[in-house]
Amino acid sequence: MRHITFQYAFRLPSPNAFLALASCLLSVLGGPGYAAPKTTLNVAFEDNVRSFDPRQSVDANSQYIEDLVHCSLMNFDPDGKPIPGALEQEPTWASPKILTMQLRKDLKFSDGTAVRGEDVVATYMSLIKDRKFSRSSAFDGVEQVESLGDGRLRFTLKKVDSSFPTNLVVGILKESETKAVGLDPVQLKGCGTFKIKSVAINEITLERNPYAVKPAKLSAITIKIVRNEKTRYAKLRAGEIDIVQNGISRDTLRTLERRNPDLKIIKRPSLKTTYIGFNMKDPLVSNPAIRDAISLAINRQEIIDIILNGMAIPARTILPPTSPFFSEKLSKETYNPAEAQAILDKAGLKKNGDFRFEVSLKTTTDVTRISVAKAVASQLKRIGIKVVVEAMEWGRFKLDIEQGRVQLWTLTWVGFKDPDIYRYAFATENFPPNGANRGWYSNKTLDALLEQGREKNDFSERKKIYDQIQEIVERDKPYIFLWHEETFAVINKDLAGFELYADGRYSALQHSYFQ
Amino acid sequence: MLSFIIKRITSLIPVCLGVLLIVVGMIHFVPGDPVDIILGDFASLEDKQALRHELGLDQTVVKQTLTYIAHAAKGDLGHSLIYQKSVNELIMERLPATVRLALASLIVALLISIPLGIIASVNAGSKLDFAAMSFAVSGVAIPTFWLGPILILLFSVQLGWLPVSEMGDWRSFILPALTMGTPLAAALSRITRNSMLDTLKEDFVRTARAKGCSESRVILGHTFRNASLPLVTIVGLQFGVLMTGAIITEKVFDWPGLGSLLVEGINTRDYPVVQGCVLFFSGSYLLVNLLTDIAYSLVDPRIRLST
Repeated sequence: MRHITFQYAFRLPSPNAFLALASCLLSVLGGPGYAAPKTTLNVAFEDNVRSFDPRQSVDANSQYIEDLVHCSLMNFDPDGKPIPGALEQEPTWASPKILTMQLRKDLKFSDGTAVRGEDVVATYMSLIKDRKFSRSSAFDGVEQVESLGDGRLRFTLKKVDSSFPTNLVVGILKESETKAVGLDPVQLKGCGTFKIKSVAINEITLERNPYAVKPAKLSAITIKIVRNEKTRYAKLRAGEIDIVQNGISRDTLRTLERRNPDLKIIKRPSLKTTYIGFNMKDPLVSNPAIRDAISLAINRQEIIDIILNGMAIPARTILPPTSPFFSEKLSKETYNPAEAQAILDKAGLKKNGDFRFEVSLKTTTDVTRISVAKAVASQLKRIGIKVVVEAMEWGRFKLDIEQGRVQLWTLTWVGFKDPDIYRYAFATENFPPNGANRGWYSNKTLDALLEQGREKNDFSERKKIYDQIQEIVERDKPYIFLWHEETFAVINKDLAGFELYADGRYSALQHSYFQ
Repeated sequence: MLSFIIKRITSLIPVCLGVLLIVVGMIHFVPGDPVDIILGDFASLEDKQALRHELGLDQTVVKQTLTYIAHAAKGDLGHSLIYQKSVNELIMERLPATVRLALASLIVALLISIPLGIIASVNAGSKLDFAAMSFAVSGVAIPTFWLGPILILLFSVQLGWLPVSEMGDWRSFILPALTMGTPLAAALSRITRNSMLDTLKEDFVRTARAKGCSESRVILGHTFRNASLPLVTIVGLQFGVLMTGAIITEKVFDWPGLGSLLVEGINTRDYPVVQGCVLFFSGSYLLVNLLTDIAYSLVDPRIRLST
């Protein structure tokens, strides 16, 4: 009689076959064991990218993409100091108005063709000749751009401008693309670490540029436009996003670290300076005693600790302490409400009831800005100044400031790299709409120093000039500088090699990777 | 019927014109300059003026309006100041997302409201009825800007069942459709219940029972069919509302629809986009109303559309 096994009866495969099948299933289903690290990164941006043409990139998000997709003559290190990008070394001044530089020979566009001097010339000449590009005005002072052969380049300026090298950050385009009408971002040939793979309504995908000098470790970056802060928070917690930079409220940060061991928060000082501006044409706040008193009555550290979660340092001027042009001679900001009251009493601004006088403080509708404004109002109330906080939509806010319908306002300077920012903010020639001297502050001595600072190429000479400029601004107080906020990011713990840049760029993604 | 349709379509024109005049006037008087947004703060005054002239923004509001109307009459809704694309193209890119979300929300609303309304009406006065109508009241009261994030926190973050946001596969429709569909379901379930209660009293229902029809056939086959007429009207009107009113939901769920395009246009003072979107919304709403009236007459042969 044939021995009927269980196996035979039910037509089952042999035990060895079972084991082989089980192994296959486990490997397919990814049973317990090693999971390969991700190679695609998901980043959340708070707003849309307005342009992929580097000549039109004036908004922050467009510049972040530009930084990853294109190379530029100059670049900035994580602290915001200018460094050579596509150049062999820093450019040199052959004369006060002539800047020469040497292009690197190892750079290639994403189609494998070399980056030539002619491409650089074409990019910058298109900005100079065609005024419709947003960044054209930064090159108003350029007479000529020439390629001298073998990668040597020469910029001839109309007048001396020592801050000019910091403008050489426009992404280099291929000569043929500079003439095209309307660049297709997917067809764009950049010389950066990544290239644009696809552009959808709320999503942009970058992929590794195989011809980059140092190819990226990440194979792709997906940038998702996530406008709502709560949605960004939810996507971080759900693991749909790996990085959010500055796009989470500080209150939410406190709970995020606790609840999500998969995420970590990194911080660093940034190139941001929050200030309160004064309208110098207003009969009340143009009184220097009032500005001095307000400065002494604001407890910056208290606001930093409570509202900003400790993520800022008190500011003494526009430049952060890490800037080589920062003046050590500036006095430390002091909180002295008693002295503030004495100044106001001496100026004849005595209390009439609970208050001495009333001022308005305008701000945007950003929740943090409103909290800060209210905190300032409550601190000034202690010395008898009634502050009416008015929060308004950005367009209205900007118009009110530029048209002088304001007494005090609070805003933030962001991403400045050169001390020439003082000229833009305080020179008499830069009253609105010509520039950003929105407080209508005018000081002839300062104007002269600002021109000198622009004209000197030597660092030590410029340093002396900008020390004087900072002292004058500190004395006259067209602004009260509040703090330099830290920039922060919430990132996936497995992401290595990512560091924050002071100006908020994502340059570190060029060498980041997942562990 | 044909003359009715022609007359209704013709009446779209003055209504759309009126809406356009109001919107164009309002958007131009809102503070903020699109040229500042395009060129940034550092652009020179001359460059800004040149761009303003190139875009026709230095003309009077009246002239800009008349120029826009002349182009819109030919179907050209203008060119976006920010996106550098035609507004027609932008709208057609985003329209499918809005229509799909509106349809999904409507389906969710009907799937919830019809059974709820029928159950409530059949069990009128009972605890089931009370529970159903409590849902109806609370569903209308709950705002979408609260409901959306709560659903995300529960189903996406805590449970991990569904994606947080973005339009993707069918799972990505569930939360936004629930967010938009729940208030509508609440309102429709009330209407369904009341309409069913009125119809259940009719003689033909008694006749159907007397003939020996099963209860389910009486309720669904006879009563609901007749009670659904008001529902057809409301659903038609609400579809137009869903198409145009998804702004908050689109923002919470990063939905690439027309609502978010309109908000972006307002924020960036992109006048052609705002004008184009509003014109499209008003035209769509009026068209949906017309289609609802036609559907109504088709559903109930007793109704004849009067000119």
